[in-house]
Formats: sequence, C-alpha cells, structure tokens
Amino acid sequence: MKTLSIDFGSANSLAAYRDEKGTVTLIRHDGQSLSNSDTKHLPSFIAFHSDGSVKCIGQEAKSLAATHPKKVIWGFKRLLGLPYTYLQERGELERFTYDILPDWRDGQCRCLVGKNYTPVELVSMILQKLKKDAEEQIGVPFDSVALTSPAYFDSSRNSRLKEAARMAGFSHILILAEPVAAAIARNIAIDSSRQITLTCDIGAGTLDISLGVIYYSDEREVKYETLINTGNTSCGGIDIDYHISRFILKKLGMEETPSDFRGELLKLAEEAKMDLSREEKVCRTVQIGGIKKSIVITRQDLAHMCEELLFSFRSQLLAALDQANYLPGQIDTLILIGGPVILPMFRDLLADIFSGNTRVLQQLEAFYRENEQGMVNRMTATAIGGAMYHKYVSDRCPFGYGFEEIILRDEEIEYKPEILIPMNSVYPHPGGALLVRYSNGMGLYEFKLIKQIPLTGGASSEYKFVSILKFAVRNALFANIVCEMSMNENKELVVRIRNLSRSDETVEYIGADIDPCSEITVQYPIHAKRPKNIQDKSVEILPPEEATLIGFSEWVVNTLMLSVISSAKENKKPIDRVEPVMKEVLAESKRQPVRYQQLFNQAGCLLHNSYSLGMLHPETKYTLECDLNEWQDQLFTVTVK
Amino acid sequence: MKRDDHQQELFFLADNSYENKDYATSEQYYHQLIEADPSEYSYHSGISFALRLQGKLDEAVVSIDQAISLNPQNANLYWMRAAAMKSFACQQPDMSIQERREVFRQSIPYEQTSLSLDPTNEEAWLDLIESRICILGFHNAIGDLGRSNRYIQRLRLIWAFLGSLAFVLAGMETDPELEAIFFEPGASFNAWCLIELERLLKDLGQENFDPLRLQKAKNYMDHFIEHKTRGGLLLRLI
Repeated sequence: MKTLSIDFGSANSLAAYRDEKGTVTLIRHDGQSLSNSDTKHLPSFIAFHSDGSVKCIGQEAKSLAATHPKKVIWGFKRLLGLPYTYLQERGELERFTYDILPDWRDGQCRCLVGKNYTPVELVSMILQKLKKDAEEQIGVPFDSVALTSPAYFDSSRNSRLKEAARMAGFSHILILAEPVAAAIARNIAIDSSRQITLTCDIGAGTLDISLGVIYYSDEREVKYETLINTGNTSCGGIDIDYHISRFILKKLGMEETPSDFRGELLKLAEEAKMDLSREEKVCRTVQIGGIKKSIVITRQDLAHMCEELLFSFRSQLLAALDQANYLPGQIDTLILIGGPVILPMFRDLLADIFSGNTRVLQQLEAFYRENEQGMVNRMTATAIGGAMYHKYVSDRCPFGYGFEEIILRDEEIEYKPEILIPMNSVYPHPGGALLVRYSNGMGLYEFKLIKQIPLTGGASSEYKFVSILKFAVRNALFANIVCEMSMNENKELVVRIRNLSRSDETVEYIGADIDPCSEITVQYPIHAKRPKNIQDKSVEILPPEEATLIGFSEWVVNTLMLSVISSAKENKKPIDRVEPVMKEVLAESKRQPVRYQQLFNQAGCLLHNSYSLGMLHPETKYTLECDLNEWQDQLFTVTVK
Repeated sequence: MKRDDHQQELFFLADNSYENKDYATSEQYYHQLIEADPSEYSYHSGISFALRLQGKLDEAVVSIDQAISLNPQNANLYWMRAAAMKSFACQQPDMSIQERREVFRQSIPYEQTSLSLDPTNEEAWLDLIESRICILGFHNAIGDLGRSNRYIQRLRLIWAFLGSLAFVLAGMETDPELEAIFFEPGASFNAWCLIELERLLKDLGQENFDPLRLQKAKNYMDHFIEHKTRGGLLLRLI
C-alpha cells in the first residue's frame, strides 16, 4: 500500500511521496521540472466549459481566472463543511466571483458553473489530479493518502475532506493537522510533554492563527489539541497584492485601474511581492496606455502600505494569546505556513512580539535561514510532514461506542449503555448490532449514540451522550429495526439503521460521532416511568382474514385501478409505472399473504400520484382515499398479549 | 432545586388551572410561586405560557427573558421566546408587514440558539425556516432546510412543503426528490402549520412580489392541502 501525502490549499496544493528508503519526492505537474528545489505546486483552480464540464485544472485554469471569473472556481476550501447560512450571514460568500447556492440535502453550498458542484466534489477533482500526476511520476498506484487539514478544521469539516478523498479514489485516508505535519517536517521533537504551539498560516486569501498543544499521546499518536482558533478573512496574499497595485497606480498618478489592465497589474504586484521577499528593493517599468514609468518599491514602502494589515495581524495574534491566558514568553513552538510569511515585514513583527522568548526567536531565525535553501520550506513543510507521519500512526480507537439500550418493564423503563465497539479496538472494527426489542406506536424511533471514555488511570470509564439519530418507519406495526455500528479503516464511526421488513427504509451515517449534539456525561442505569406509546414486542400482529385479503385485492383491481384507468385519457404514466408492480404483488399476495402490506403501500402511491398529475377528480380521489383508510383498519390489526 | 411542600402545592394548582384553560388563575399562582422563589426558572417559563395564552404577549416575552437569564442552557426557552415574539407580531392589527417582518428577523437568533443547544427539535427547525421565508431570505431557508434534514422525521411533509415554497419564491427549479416526499404514504402533517402557512402566503401577497412566483407558491399550497384531504377540510372549517 503506497501512501501519498497531500497538502490541499485554498490557492495551491502540493503532493509528496516518501519511499521505503525514506527519501521524500515532491510531485510535479504539467511540465514542471524534476528538480526538488523548484516549485511543484498545483494551483487549486478548476476551469469549466459553459455546459459545466471540466475544461482544465491547475496552472492553465488559474491563467483564465481573471478573464473568466464565473467559469473558474477556486478558494472553495473555505466552503468545505460549513453551512450556507453560516457563510452567508458572515458575508463570506461575497468574496467569491462565481455563484453559490444552498444545498437542500445538507444545508451546505453548491457552486454553480453550468452544473452544480458541491465543494466536496470540487476538492475531489483536485485530489484526483494530484493522485493521477503522482501515479504517472512514481509509477505505482496510490490507494492511501495522508491529507493535511488546517488547525481550524473541526471534525465535521475533516469528515468532508475524507469524503472528497474517498471520491478521488483513495480507500485509506488519514487526516493530519497542519501544525503537526509542519512540526514533523521541521524535526521538532515531539514527546509526551505538552508543547504550546502557535501556528500562523497566511494563505492567499486569509490569515489563520491557531494556538494549541502538540504531544505524543498514551494512544501512541501525535495529538493536536486546539486552544484558540482565530483569523481574518481579508488578510492574505491577495490583499498584499492589492495594496502594491494601489501603490503602483498612485505612482502613475492614476485613481482607478483601467479594466483591461487589472489582471496585468495584479500579476505585476504579485511578482513584486515575491521579489521583495529576496531583495531590499525592486524596480519595474510599467506602461499603461500612453504612460510609461519606472517604479521603485522598497521593503519599507511595502511595510508602510501594509500598515493596517500588519496591525490586524498583530492584534489577532495577541488576542489569541490573551484569550487562552498565555504570554508570548510561554510559547514553546512557532510554526509559520503559507507564501506571504516569507516577507521580512512579518519576520520583523514576530521578532518584536517574541523579543523575550529565545526558543521562538531561534526557531524564527532557523525558519528564515532554511527557507532560502533546502526542500522543507514554508510552502512544502505540511506536505512533507504528511509524508513522514506514518511512523506515528496508532491503529487503535481509544474510545468505545454504542447505543443507549431500552429495557421495558411492567411500569418502568430502564436505559443502559450497549457498547458495540469496545475501547482500544483495532481499526477497522466490525462492531456489532442491536435489535430493537420494542415497538413505537408513532413509528418514530430515536437512538442515542453513546461514547465510552476511559478515565485517567484506565481503570474505569464514563459515558457521554454524543448524538441522537432518528429513524421513522411507514408502518410502525410491521417494523423490525436493527442498528449496526462499525469502525472503518479511515477511523470513521459508521452507523446503519435498517428496517428489516422494508428494504427501502435504511439510513447510514458515516462519521456518526462528528458534529455532536452534546458531550453530556450520563450516569447509567437510568430508570423512568414507561411512556404509553412504547410497547414491547409482545404486541402480536394479526394477519388479516383470507376474505379481507381477497376483498382488498378485488377493490384494488376493480375499483382503484379501474377508476384511475377510466380517468386517464392520455397520461398513463403513473399506471405504466405502478401496474406491473401491482400485478406482481397481487399475484404473490395470494401465495404469500404477508405482501399485502406492500400492496397497500403501492395502492396509496398510485392514488396520490394519479391525483397529483390531474388524472383524478378531487371527489373521486376523496372517495377512494376514504375506502383505502377503511381497508387500512381491516388489514392492520394487533393484539396485546 | 427541590421545592418545598407549599411550592409543590402552588405548582400543582397553577398547572391544574392551566390544564383547565383558566390562564388568569394559573398566572396568579405562578406570581405567588415567583414571590416564593424568584430564582426558579420554570416558574418564569410557566407564567409566560399563561400570559401568552391570555394575549399578554409583551409580558410573556419579559418572563421568558427572566427564565433564560436563570437557565441559559435550556433550549426550549429560546424557542419559546421566538414563538412569543412572532405571535406578538401576528396579533397586532396595526403592525405593518415591514414591522412584522422586522420582528421575525429578530426572532431568528433565538431560534438559532435554541437549535444549537438542541438540534433535534423539529418544530423549532420549521419555525426557523418559516422565519427565513417571511423575511424573504429564501436561500437561507433552503440552507436551513438542508441543515435540519437529518433531524426531521415526524413533520417531513410540512418540511418538504416549506422547502418547495422557498425554492419557488427564490425563482429556482424545485427538486423532484423534495417534492416526492409529498407522496410518501406515511408522511404526516400538522394542521396548525397549514394555518400558519396560509397567513405567510397572505403576508407575502401584500408585498410587491413577483406575481407569477407567488401564484406558483399558492398552487403549491392548494396542491398540498388537497393532497392531505383531512388537513384541507380542517383548514376550511377553521
């Protein structure tokens, strides 16, 4: 099994591979050179044709972004796993040049480019491209991936990242926090002591600051615990480019950028920014229309024009430390990620903030020294760290998972935990199943997901109520419900609830423990008064009399179907669709009486579908519906022992 | 906290009066309870119910605020707060649509807080989606529809209808998968919701709204009522 490491970014992505000898290779794309010292990033840009099909991915798509803003998609990492309403209410959607709509299935976003694409699908396209390029370069198939994710990604967003990786064709997925990956790549010693780590990620569009703790846990895994996540969505490389372009315009004596020059000016600004990371000053000859001028930009100019941005960076950083009750002198490790961090103005600012912290100052010095040379730098550290991570991976789940089981007694109801995946189970774990031993007259079942957490010392454990999973059945009397729980190889908790009596009543949750409703500790067992609508399985379902069954079948054929057929003049679509099933069920229900339930459901569907298509007069429909209700009373009867 | 015998008795009397729809007496008992123990949140939430059903909606809102300050982790209190605000807005004959809409807008954070504490409350999700539609935030309504998807089982029919309504009013193509829920034999509905929806469409009709979209939404409403015959009959009887 070969593992590819991927650092998927808002603007650029990078893949790396570590062979058996420990040599790390960066994956190149679309004609990039073989040398490890040159850039190997794949711009996370996708261009689409008008019909919504993919035109190109990477550098070519990026070059089209300025001229085709509605057809080139990028920056969708910000949308991943977040609700549409959350993004909309915070004004984040206004930053995007393409149309974004809500998805009624999960409340997240869909990007509109001729076709609708979810952020997960878009991420999977980038991952697929990285996988394909890696397979071509290394010459082996990759079915396993170590994906780095920002420190501010919660379990819900990480789960979306896993979904995208699965869609891209990876079957084994490991998610690794970027600070951990960067710490590994930079050979920062990680042991059981808790290192206070500050991560500053200045990306293309955003600034993210994360304060957390890195340590090697009892479960033999490198852990990153977030203390504070903060950030600014208008403090990234793009904003610096914007300030430089305004500076150039000012030097040219212009107020506004001519629209046909906008793309070129931004490109010029980006180049100047990159040069200023290496040189004290840059000189550019700029020509717009009839004006041609040589413009000199110094590092001092850059710091001056980005004064507001630097102030914002400083405030965010100090606020994060303050909120977590830490002083700059207490930070053990400083990790810098992203392209713009190389600019000397950020180095000077950080050196000022951490002036009393020799540990961090040494790290800062080493960071800027190493970025000038070698393969591990601010842009590659996370991907390389991901490639080196596998030696730390634990194969055991530290927690146990199960459901709250209900035991019915005469007057009371008892709740107790039923653990299906024990603590310290090896991934993947087949888990177990829980057969529901009661029936709910309402047809609505609720299953409480319970997490078993070891207490310090490992001698005992406690239970936490994590989430509630609801399941509804159409026919409460004929439901046989089973809850299955397992842990897959990607360390995701999989819960499947099925009604054994109906194959179409099934629901599956992958990553069921993410997005928890609560983490309340529950003391078991719990005793409560028994609710009236919950019956144990001593309720006996009485099959209908044979005469009732025959009568119902005859009503279906002679009344219902005839009414529909006689009303249908041209549009026979619902009958065409339902008739063969009906006939099959009718034939079988004589041999196998239990199928009358299916026949009943089909009859209901036929009635409502015919009516919705205007094939039945409301009065006819009302009469037939009353008849059907009467049949329901006769067909479905129960007795309580 | 443990109530003493006197409070227990008063609580029983307040509850009993409430059950017998004697809300004024229930209110009196709750006043006595609050005097006896002003730190018990359930007395404040109890009186708010009694006040709300007597039409004293502004006082009801004040009582719920007191209950929230005493028990800020109780999801139901925020939902009740939003419901009281919306009832208040709907029962003021002099209030313009714009003013009413502003109250609905202010109710949204309470509904969101309630759902962040207890996302399994189906009716609170429906209320939030309805508030979004009322303030013409159709895209957000569809977004919340999606967020509520995993929690909605019992009121799936009304949920699907609200979603379809938001799609139509936003001028978007309705998803057939969403419409198909109308025809699920087991889908149940809530007659009270129908009444609320009727009012919602009436309010929207008073705006300068795209008449074609509104007509399509009204057709949906009729179709929905006809589909569930008993619901339609009930609505007409009322």
